Amino acid sequence: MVRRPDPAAATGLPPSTQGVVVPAPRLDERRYPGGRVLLRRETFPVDVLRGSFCLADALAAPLSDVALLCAGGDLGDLGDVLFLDTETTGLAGGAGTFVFLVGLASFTGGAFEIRQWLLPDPCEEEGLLDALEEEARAARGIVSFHGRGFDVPRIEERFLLAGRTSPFGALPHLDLLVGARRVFRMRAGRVNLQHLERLVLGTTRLDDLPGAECPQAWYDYLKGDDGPMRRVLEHNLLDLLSLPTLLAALAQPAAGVGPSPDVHAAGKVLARAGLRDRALDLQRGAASRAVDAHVAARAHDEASRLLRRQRRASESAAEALAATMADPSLPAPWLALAKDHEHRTKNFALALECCARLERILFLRSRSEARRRDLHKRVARVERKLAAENAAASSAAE
Amino acid sequence: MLDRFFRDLRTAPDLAPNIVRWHKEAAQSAVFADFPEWTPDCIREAFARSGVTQLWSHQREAADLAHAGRHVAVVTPTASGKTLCYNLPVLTALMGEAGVKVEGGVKVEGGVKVEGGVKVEGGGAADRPSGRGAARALYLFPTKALSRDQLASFAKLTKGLPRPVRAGVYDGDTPPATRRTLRAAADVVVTNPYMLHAGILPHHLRWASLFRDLRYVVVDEMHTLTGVFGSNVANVLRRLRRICRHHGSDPTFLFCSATLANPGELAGALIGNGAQVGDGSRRGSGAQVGSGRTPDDRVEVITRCGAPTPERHLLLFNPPVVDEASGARCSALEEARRVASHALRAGLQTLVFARSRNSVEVLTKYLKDTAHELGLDTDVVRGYRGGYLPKLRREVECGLRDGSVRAVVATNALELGIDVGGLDVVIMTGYPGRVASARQQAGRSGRRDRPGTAVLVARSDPLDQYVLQHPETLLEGHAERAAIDPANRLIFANHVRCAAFELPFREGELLWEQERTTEVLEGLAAPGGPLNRSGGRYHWCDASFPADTVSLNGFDIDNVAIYDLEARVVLAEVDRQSAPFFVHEGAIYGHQGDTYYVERFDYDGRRAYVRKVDCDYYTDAEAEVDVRTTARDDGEDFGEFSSSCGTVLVSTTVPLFNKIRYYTGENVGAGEIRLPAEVMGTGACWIDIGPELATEMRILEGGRSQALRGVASLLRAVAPAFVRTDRGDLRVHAEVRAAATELPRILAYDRVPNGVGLAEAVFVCLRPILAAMREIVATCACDKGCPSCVGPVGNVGPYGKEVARRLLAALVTASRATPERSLQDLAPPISAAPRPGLAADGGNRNGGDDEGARQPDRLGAYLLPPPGPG
Repeated sequence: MVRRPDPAAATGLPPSTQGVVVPAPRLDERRYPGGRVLLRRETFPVDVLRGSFCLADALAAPLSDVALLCAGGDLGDLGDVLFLDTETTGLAGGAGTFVFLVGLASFTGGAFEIRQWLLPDPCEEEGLLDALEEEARAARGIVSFHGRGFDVPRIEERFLLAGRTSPFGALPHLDLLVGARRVFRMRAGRVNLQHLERLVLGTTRLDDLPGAECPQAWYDYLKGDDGPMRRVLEHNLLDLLSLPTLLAALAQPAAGVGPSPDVHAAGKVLARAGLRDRALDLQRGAASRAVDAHVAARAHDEASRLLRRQRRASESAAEALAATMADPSLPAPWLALAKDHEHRTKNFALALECCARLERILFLRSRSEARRRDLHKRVARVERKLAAENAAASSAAE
Repeated sequence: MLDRFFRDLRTAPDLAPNIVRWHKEAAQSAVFADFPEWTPDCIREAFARSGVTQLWSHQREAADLAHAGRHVAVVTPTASGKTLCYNLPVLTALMGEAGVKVEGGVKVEGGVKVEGGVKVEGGGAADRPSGRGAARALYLFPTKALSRDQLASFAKLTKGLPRPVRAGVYDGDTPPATRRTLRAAADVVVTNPYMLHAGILPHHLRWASLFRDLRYVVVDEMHTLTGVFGSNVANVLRRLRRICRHHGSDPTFLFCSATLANPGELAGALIGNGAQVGDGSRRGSGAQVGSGRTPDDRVEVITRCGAPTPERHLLLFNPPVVDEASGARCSALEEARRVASHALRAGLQTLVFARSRNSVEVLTKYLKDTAHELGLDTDVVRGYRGGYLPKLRREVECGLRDGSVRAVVATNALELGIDVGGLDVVIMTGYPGRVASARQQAGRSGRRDRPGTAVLVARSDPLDQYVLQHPETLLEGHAERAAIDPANRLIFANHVRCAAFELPFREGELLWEQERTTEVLEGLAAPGGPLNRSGGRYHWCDASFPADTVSLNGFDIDNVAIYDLEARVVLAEVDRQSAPFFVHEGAIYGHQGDTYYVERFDYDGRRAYVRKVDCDYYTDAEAEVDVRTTARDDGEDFGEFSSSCGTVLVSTTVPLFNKIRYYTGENVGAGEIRLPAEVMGTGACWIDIGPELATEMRILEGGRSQALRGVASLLRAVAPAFVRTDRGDLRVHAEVRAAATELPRILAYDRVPNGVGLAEAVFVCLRPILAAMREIVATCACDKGCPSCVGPVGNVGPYGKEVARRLLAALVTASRATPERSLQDLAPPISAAPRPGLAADGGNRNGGDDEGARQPDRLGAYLLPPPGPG
């Protein structure tokens, strides 16, 4: 389906994308002391679906978990929290890069309200800043995708250029990209919003304007051609609709729901944050439900590590063994087993066996000299112990 | 020790007969001054710890002026403590705010990172405490190596100050985390013009706190900022000042430079205080000259040096003639080795300057052998050149200072401001090409209490021989003038684009009083252009990033890493332009006298893989330049000849290398190099000589064809008098039979990719340029050619001057016979009566890799007599 940027046609049929009915944009002019800005306001019921998630799922998601995954501040709940996504004239930043569209959204009055602030002319920029200041004053926090590294700094630069202080920098910020990188990387490879929409939410955009064409759309708009700009508005709108659903999707693995690679990855984050019991449950769950043997091995290995830290040595060894059985090419479980056999079970022959397996893997895979050196030391030591044991055994036999 | 060396020089049969001139300069005693009363005690103590308890007069003078907020240019010889001139006021400014500044006052939830004890926020420095009272400084050095050197010595100096001084190098090698720290919290940012242009200014909002508090901008090695590079840097500094004003600061500029004829002019032009520089004519071009923007924008020049100079002997050494018939002389390298071994034997610390990286390695190897024969450790002899990793260079510098290194062989990398103290003997293997360089190198000899000796060992090269025959050029010669043209049409327009990106221009706002700003802005705001004019401002509305498309000097500052396959470490670096000469596959790469075989050269990946071998030969590669015209934009027919301007493709290849045996110098083989040609499109102008004239002059005949080269190099030498630039920015090419016409053609083209209109300006001024060339050849007193006219006989052949004289006379006659076209708006400033002090090209043999901040004149060497009266 290809829509032409024809204003007449656009007013006729509301374009629809995967269940989200997007009305044709209506821009209202708002005047601020600094200049005028155009505002498009759309309200969506919270049961709108974005793939297999609906907007309301975000309201139910445990935000403390998401904050942990995203290394951001805990917002408590999503009341007065702004979802943020901007469109700019360049990715590299720099003083000549305009932020020409700022999309903001929030859950208000049982609905999801989207407000898109469009800069109608470069010289009206102060007006946009006024509008943003007003928005930020009423907000408690920000949710974004890559906002911490991109959107917020760009907005701050604009404030700075105008000799003002940005109100966004001081707000607690939940950057979903940070969490998505940690949780979905194993499965997704590259982590960008549209890829995650397909993979995690289960929805695909049709006829979406490529991000690289957004700057040109604005330049065209400044020259009086607003066709491409409609597509930018829609692109930005979809980005904003993806934010709460992605947030909900991000919270699931931490609750043990979802594909096991995600659960495994979320478990690792929780473990690092000190939530070891929950992490252990997640890893055991991931290991038992994993489809991919490699994922199962990693989950077992992680579980083994957690148990070891809790001094539950035999359980830890059992997990390590399970890991080697699931995927014998993972080096860490072999090392864990070697240590276990050397120090706990004192089965030196088995320890040497494990070392031999590990050596083969390192020979093929690892460039680390230090790891090899350590292994050789271990082998020598275990051999000494084995020899001593044999000597003791033979002298005992005599 | 010195006596023994002098005795050797006077009596030794292998030395004495070859010394053609022994010149003695008397010692000068130091003029001391006290530390200024405004110096805080802690800084006095810091300098005392580094051994400075008293200043020299010029240091005091400079520091006082800088402290008072005046722009200063310090122009004094090597090792006269120029660094102190700026470190003293800068440190004082930094210390002055000891109590005020809040360490890491940034408080951002969520996005805070802590690095090195400083809290930094990724997005900008918006929330730093307002910089009231805080002072910061920006140091600009022309090379990365120099930046790191200076940072190291700065760190040493500031250790133990009551408040830690945060200084860092910001360049392409700086890791992202450090960049963030520097942006938010560095007191002193050390960088280079390239980085300032493309990395800092376009992102000035991220550097807001630096620009808000910027008190001093230090520009070191100012003499390297000439020609196209200088013109670009001048515009970058104007942009810097514009940004500073936006953020509310107005920094004081402190320049340091080696000897120059016109330091005040150059510094003034660099910061745009209205002075114009180097239009060759010294004609007061109206209101612009000397009319500083404000009285305070004047640059104070300090040339009187208070540092002591020791008694210094300058010896000119001409190697013996080995072949009477051809006049060929002994290899300068071999002779330099002989002189150096006498110095080594006398126990004198010796510095040998060699002209190329290859000769550094060869000579290092020779001298190590000599040291071995003398029963010394071979480690007392070291090489020193660009491309060595900083750690190794530091080691050599330390060795020189503490005396454990007795001899160093170096390129002119040691000529720039690197502190190694004084040495007993300096040996120059070949004339370094410029009076200023020669003096700079000779200035490395001598210590406070001991006389120094500098020996210039001449090569067979015509220019070297000329200098030896006319020693006054060196002994009394004046330093070169630096010429820049910040108002160059293309360069200026480029920087207006960059400036428009950085900050929208208001209507009527000029970039440093250049009337043409509005014209350029209007052009950029035209439909399809990158600017959008609305609300009384020009806004940048384009997806491009202009600084990326504007190159300051056409050189790529990236390096090729040389990787040692056995030790598994990066051994050294080489700049990308030179890489095909040194690390092509099959090359022998010399390093500290050791030889490495280049197994693989990954051209795209910028890595060369080498393995240490024991080898009795080294390799030498030669460049081949091919210039092809691609479009003719304009032309003029003079009957006997025609001139054109247009665009050319210049392709440089390195097709072959030779294997040369150590000591004997015999050629023991050759190899092919398969590397892609470096192709560059640029602007050019060319003269096609008609068939009649060519026949009449018999240029097409053998033995006379070289004359054309002489004319071309004369063109290159004369042009800067009419087109404001450094002669290194214009290249010439002569073809006896051009591919298109089968007739002689002389080409001049811009060295910078895409050109900046220099060749076009030559086309426009061709008539006066030809007339000047003819006058020079006609009035030159030499017999058959000298570096002051078409070039030495060795380069242009026995008939060179004669043919050039007649050819130029014919060209001038023809050009006078043709009525002048009106070329209104193209015309660059043409000087009325140039009295260029000129010399022809010494001739380029193999792209000789004279190193330096930026090789302003790779292709040749030249002398400039004192500027004539206006």
